[in-house]
Formats: sequence, structure tokens, C-alpha cells
Amino acid sequence: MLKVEHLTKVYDNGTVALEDVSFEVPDGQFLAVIGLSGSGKSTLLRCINRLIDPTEGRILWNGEDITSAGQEELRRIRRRIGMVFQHFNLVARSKVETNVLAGRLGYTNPALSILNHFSPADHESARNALARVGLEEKLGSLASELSGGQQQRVGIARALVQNPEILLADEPVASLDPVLAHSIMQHLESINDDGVTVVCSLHFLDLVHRYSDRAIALFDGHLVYDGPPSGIDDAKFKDIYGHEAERVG
Amino acid sequence: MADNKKKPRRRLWLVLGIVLGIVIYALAVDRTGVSLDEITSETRQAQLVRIIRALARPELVTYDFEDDNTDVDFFIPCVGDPAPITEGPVTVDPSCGEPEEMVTVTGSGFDPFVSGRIQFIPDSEFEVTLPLAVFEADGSGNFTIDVELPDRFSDSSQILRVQVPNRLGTWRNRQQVWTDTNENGVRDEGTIGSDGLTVSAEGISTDVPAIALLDATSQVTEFVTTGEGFVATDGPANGTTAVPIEETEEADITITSIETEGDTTVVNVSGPEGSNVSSWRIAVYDGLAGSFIGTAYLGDQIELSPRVSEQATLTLEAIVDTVFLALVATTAGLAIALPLSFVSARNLMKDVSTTVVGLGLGLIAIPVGIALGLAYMDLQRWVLSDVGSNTFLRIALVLAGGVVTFFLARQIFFGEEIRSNLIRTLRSIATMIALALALEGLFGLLTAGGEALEPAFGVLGFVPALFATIGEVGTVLLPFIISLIAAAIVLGVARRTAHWLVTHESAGIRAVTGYTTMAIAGAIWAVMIGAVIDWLYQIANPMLTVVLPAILGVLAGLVIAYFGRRQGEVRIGLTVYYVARTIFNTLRSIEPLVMVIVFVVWVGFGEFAGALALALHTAAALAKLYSEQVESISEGPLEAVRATGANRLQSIVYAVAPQIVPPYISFTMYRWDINVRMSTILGFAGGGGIGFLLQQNVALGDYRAASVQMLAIAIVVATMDYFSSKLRQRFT
Repeated sequence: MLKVEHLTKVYDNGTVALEDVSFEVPDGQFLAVIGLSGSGKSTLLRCINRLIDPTEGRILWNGEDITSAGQEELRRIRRRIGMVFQHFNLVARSKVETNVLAGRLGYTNPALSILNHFSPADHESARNALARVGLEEKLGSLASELSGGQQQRVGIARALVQNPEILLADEPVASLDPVLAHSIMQHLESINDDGVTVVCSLHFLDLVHRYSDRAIALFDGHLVYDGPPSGIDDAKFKDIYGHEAERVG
Repeated sequence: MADNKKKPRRRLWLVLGIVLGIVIYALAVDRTGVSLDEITSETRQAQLVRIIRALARPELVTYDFEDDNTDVDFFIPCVGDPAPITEGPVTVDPSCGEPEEMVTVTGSGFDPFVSGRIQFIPDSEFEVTLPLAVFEADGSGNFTIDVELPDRFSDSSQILRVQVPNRLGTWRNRQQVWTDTNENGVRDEGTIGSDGLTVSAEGISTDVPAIALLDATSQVTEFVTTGEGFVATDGPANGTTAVPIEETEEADITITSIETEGDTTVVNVSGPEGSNVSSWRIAVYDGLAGSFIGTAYLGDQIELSPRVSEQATLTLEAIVDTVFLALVATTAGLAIALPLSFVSARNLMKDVSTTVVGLGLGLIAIPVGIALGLAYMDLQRWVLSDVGSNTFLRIALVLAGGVVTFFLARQIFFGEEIRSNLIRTLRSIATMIALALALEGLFGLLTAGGEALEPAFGVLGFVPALFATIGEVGTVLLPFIISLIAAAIVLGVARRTAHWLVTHESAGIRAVTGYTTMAIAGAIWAVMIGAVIDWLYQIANPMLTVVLPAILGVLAGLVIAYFGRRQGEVRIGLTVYYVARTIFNTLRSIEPLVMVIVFVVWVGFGEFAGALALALHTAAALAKLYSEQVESISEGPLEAVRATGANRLQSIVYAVAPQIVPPYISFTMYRWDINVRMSTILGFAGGGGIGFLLQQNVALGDYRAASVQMLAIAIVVATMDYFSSKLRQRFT
């Protein structure tokens, strides 16, 4: 159970990205986070694994307070939270395998990993993760040699080797064409089917309807909707996307 | 309307701007001392031409010289007749004089354009030579020069010497006269064949030729004329009587015929077959006027005997030293800059923050840790002081310490993570002690072993010497290494304590601990700064250097704690970033040439001072360049790697390093390139290398030698430039 309580984030320049956001995510749920660009979706996801430190409020995960965790606790928390990014965020000059193995860094002794040494089990799990996303043969390629869709699958493999209990996906398909988008979403769905909680920010409502169990919507840092995807009617839509917005697709 | 109003004003500004510009440039030109008078001054131009010509002829090869001396007896002061000396190739007018009087020295029959020296050999029991003047003969081998007599009195005759250096084995005097060989039309080596030897003195002809035969030492062996006999009054045969050719007595080597063919005088010389007369000459005189016309060698091109000049050898040595200096400086600078570049990268440091308690405890922990480390090393060295130099003990220390370090380090690095802080801390301390013992033994062994083996390695003795140096440096640095490890251990304890305080204790206790620790930390650091100030300015007043700083430190600590608590965190990362950047920028703005001056005082003249100065500058410059590269990496991968739970070090290795390796290599190469260039001039300030030679030669006015160094610098810099740009292309 992931519990977000009164979360507020004010950036140094005074921008209020989130204001008093509270919600709960039961284990195993596929939660979609929707909202306009700049509505605070990315900030919310990054607060969950403390890539961004919230200004106020708490995030509890199975009773453990993520927001007050020290460095070592944070390391133990982060390694069980996988994350997938809109721009894939692979290290372009590193090999695909190294990129995937980076997912094991949270489990690996720092001194060892600096020598680029991972246990055979880690190598095995990296291979398995790549096989699962269908890229086993790209093991030795450089990340920069892959196409966008392939890069995102490597990103998923990197999250997979973490054996995550939560997967955060920040607009995972926004940089991909619709066909690839569905293939990526299906991978996330299959991970969700394994019992991993997925928190995924999305742009397209049809993807929300198709894949998520539940949706929350942010508008200007405020939580404006929390309910089933099917509950987003035209009135709600205008609340979420502004009154000039029109539905597409 | 507004536009129309603005226009005149804008014009006014424009005019003012132009006037101001003219004034500024006029002032600049004036201050720069731009002067056409200097440029067009004839003496300056003559000097410039001389220097440029010297620079154009780098002294890469030298020749063996033999001095041709022509001596004239001379009296200071006059004891007899001051009538001019007129006999011989050198005449002096007058033939005696008082000191500081001027006499005219005239020479004839020298090689055309040859340069030589006028010297004075005083009457002395020591071999003394006083230089009086240098001269250059004209196209006919004549010169006239006024020299000032030296302040050397003697009743007996002294010597005025005309000295002409001859390159041994070289051909001289080709401008006017050249020789041909006997009957084969090919230049030969100037040996007399069965039919004798024919010399054709081209461009020298007269209706009544008279020929003086000069041997290798320019002595007249025979002087014959096709006309009436006469006494030569100039030239190499000055004072000798020419006899008609048919009246000559037979000599070993003798002139057998003289003919004039157009503008060429052809002389046949006979003598024992095979005689080498290559450096013999004929001097052609006009038999009617009795005047000297010119000379020609009997031989032709003689083999040159150039050898690599001493300057060239010295320069080669110096340029190799210079490149090595640059290499050492670049490597040392790189080693320092590499870790610092991460500390001074804003994007990596901006998130580094701590709580007030954390900062306070940390600031206390660092000096305490360093002090504990140093104290431990004192203790260790005191315990080992009696037996420390024992080789077996050292080996035992290395083995035992090494094995323990290895196993403990293996457990730390490879083992399961232990959550008990006490055990982790104790384990770290044990590792530190084992490492200290092992390194103590190892550095001792290196020093002793290196020194012992150095003679045995002969020429390669510098290899064991390097190990001995490493051992010595290590022994000196060991306390600092250990104290840093100790500081890290204590810092770790402080950090965990701070975290525990922040998460477990009430707000009241957090506030109290925060203010107390910051006050103590402020006091400690202020007192340390006070000690530095005391050392620097020798105040020796505890009131000012201990008590006052302590009070100020406490106050500063409390203020920082207040603001830190209000903000919720203390951004130490940004502080470190700004401090590091400031230091780098300051160091970078001091030219290595200036730094050398300080280092020369510290370690003495030579390459070491230069390397230190260059290394310091390189470290600052590279750290800045590197950190700018770190700042320009794409943040996405770093974010992704951090999200997996990687700690700071792992993030750097996996997300930052792959992105910065190519530019790092490229910058390092570029820096080496710069350093080679820099090190060539470090010698000007005493930093050794080729600049030292260059400066010496420029100071001595030996521009031909300086030219060798300039050439070497140009070649090395150009080569480095080429290869570094090639290599950099590969990595960008």
C-alpha cells in the first residue's frame, strides 16, 4: 500500500507544482495519472522515489515513511521502485547490458560495482529481463544504436531487474508512435499482472481507458479527479484539461 | 515626434563616442610606445638584420676550427721608431703607441669575406689574450680597422695578433676564384699528377702575371713573375721579391708555366707526384704594377668535417626534459583534477544538502578525525621506531597488514551489508590500522630496496630510484592518507548520529543539538583559521588568535544554524561548489610562469619547480574544464540511475563517467599540448627545461644558439599539436 498524504512541492523559484495531494494506491493496482503538461504529474512521480524532495506532506509505503528516509534507507527503498521515463534516459555510450545492469546498482556493493563487477546472478537476470522485452540479441549493442521503441524496452528491462514492487512510469509512450505505444503499454500491463503496482502518467485517454484500473487527475498541482477511468465524462474532462480543450481520439 | 527628438541626441552620443574612441586609442598608442623612429633607425635595423640572419642559421652543426694567426711585434709604449710596420700580410700604423691610442691595422691576402679577430698578447708570464676588435674582410680579402691599444706596458715587444678561424677540412674562398684540375676538366682533390697540376684562376688576369705560391700555412714558397722582378707591397707576399720565372731556383713544388687566357690566369705547378697541395694557394699579382689581385686554391672541394654542435646536443636533452616535464605536470594535474571536477560540478553538487545537526557534527568530525588519524600514526611510528627499519619486520608488516586489509576490505566491499553501525565502524577502524601497518612496511621496503638496488642497475638505476622516491613520498604522505581515512570514518559516525537525532528525537532536542553542534563546530574551525592567521602574521596573542576567533566562530555557527533551521536544510554542496570554483579560478588566473617563481624558492631551480607550478595550474584548469563537461551531461541517465537506488559514487560511475570520458581524454590531450608549450618558457623563470637554455643564449647574445632552441620548440610544439588534434578527433 502506497499512501500519499497532503503532498506539497514548492520549487526554489516559487512554482507550486503540487498542493495538498493525497491518495492511496493499493498493491497491484495500475494507476494512471493524467493532466496537462505542467500539472505536476512528473513531480508527483519523482516525489514517490524522492528524486524530488517534497516540501510538505508524507509518503508512506507499507508503513515506512519515504519522505524522511536517510540515505541508506532511501537506497533500500529506491531499489524496489522501478522507473521508466519519457525519454528513456539510457546512457547512450554504454552497452545495453550495462544499462540494464544499472538496475542492480541498488543491490550491489558500491565498491564492487565501481569495478564494473556484477554477480553472475545479476547478469542472468539482465539477460532474462532483456529476453522478456524481446531484446536479448541486443545485449552487446550500444544503447545509442537502438530505436526509440527498443530504448524504452531496455528502460523497462532496467526497471525489471530491480525486482520492483512499484513501477513508476513517467509518460512512457509520449515519445513513441501509437503502435509502439501499445507494445510498451502491454509490457507494463504484463508487469502489472505479475503483481507489481504501476503508477503511470499518460496523455492519451484511450490508453488510460485501455490499460489502467484507476485514474487520478492533476490540474495546476491539485488533485481534481480520483476514480475509475470510465468516470471521466465530458464535465470532468473540462475540469482536467481546461475549458477550451476538446477531446481527441 | 519622439524619433525626431532622439535623433540629434543620438548623433551627439555618436560624436562623443568617436571622440572618446580617438582619445583612448591615442592614449593606448602612446602608452605602448609605438615609435616609427625606432623602426626606421639604422642601427636598430642593422641589429635586427644581424639577429634575424643569426636566427636563420641555427647552430646545428659545428666544424673543427684551426686558428690562423698572423703576429706583429708591437711596443707599448714606443721604444723605437713608430714607423708603420709594412712587411707581411698585416700592416700596423703606427707600430707602437700609448695605451688608449688608436692604431690602424690593415690586412690583405685573406680569404674574401672572412671574419676574424684582432687580439693583443701582452708580455706576461701567463697566457693572456685581450680581444681588441673583430673584422670582416672585403671581397678581395682586405680589411682595415682602427683598434684602441690596451693598457699594457712593457719594455719588450708584445704581440698584436690577427686571428682567422679556419674550419678544418672545409673549402673556403669560392666566391671569386675557383680552381680547376689538371687536364681532365674535372675538379680533383688537388694532388699533383704525373703532368703536374694546372690551376685556373678565373676572373683574374693581367698582361704580366706574377704568381706567389703559398703553402698550407700561407707562407710564400716561391714568387715568380713573367716580367721584371719587383717587391710586393701588399697581399700575402707583401715584402717578398718576385723573380722572373726563368731565373727561379728549382724547388720541390714549383711553378712551371704561367699563361693568360682571356680573363683567366692558368698556372702549371709541378712537383713530386701525389703531393697533396689542396690547401696551397697561388696569389696572382700584376707584374707591372706589383699589386695583388687575388688568390686561388690548388685543390678543390675538400671534405667537410661537420659534427653535431654542442648546442644541438644540449637542446635535444633539454627538449626531452621539457616534454617529460609537461608529461609529469599533466599527469599530476589530471590526478588532482579528476576527483575535484565532480566536486565542482553544479549539477552534481546542488542536491547535496544536510541538516543543521549533520553539518555541525560533520564539521566537528573532520578535524577530530584528522587529529585522531595523525595521533594514531604518531603512536604507530613511536611503537615501530626501534624496530621499524628491520627488513624482516617490514616484510612481516606488509604480509600481515596486507592479508588483514585484504580480508576486511573484501568483507566490506564484497560481503553482505551489515546494518549494525557499531560493527561497521569497528571493522573500518581495524581496516585502517591494518592498512597503515602494511603501507608503513611497504613504503619502508620500497625506499630501502630502491636505494640498495640503484647502483646494481647501472644505467637503468633510475627505475629503482623511482621506487625509492615513491617509498619516500609515501612515507611522508602516509599520515595524511590515514588521517583522511580516519576523518571519513568519524564523518560516517557523525552522519549516522545526525540522521538518528533528526529522525528519532523531538523538535526541541533537534534544535538544541543543532545549535550546540554548530556553535562547537564554528569555534573549532574559527580557532583553526586563527592558528593559520597567527602563523602567517605572527600575532602571538592568544586573545586575538584563540579567544576572539572562538567567540566569532560560535556566533557564526549559531547564525548558520538559525538560517539553516529556517530553510530546513544546509546546502553544503553548493558551498563546496562555490569554494572549489573560486579556488580554481584564482589559481588559473596566476600564470605558471609566476607560480614557478614561488616554487623555485621552495625546491630550487630546475625542472621540478617547473613541474610543480605547471601541475598546480593544470589541476585548476583541468578541474574547471572537466567540471564544465560534467555540468553539460544529459541529466536523464543520471536521474534514471539514481532512481535505481545507486549511491552517489555509483551514479557518477554509471551515468556520468560514460558521458564525459571522450571530452576528458580530449581535454587532457589538449592540456598536455598546452603544457609542452608552457614548459618551453618556464625556464625563463627558473623552471628548467629548454627555456633555461634559450634564455641563457638570448642573454649572451648568441642568437645562432638561441635559434636552435627555437627550432626545437617549434618542432616539438607543432608535432604535439598535430598528434593531439589527431587523437582528439578520435575521441570527440
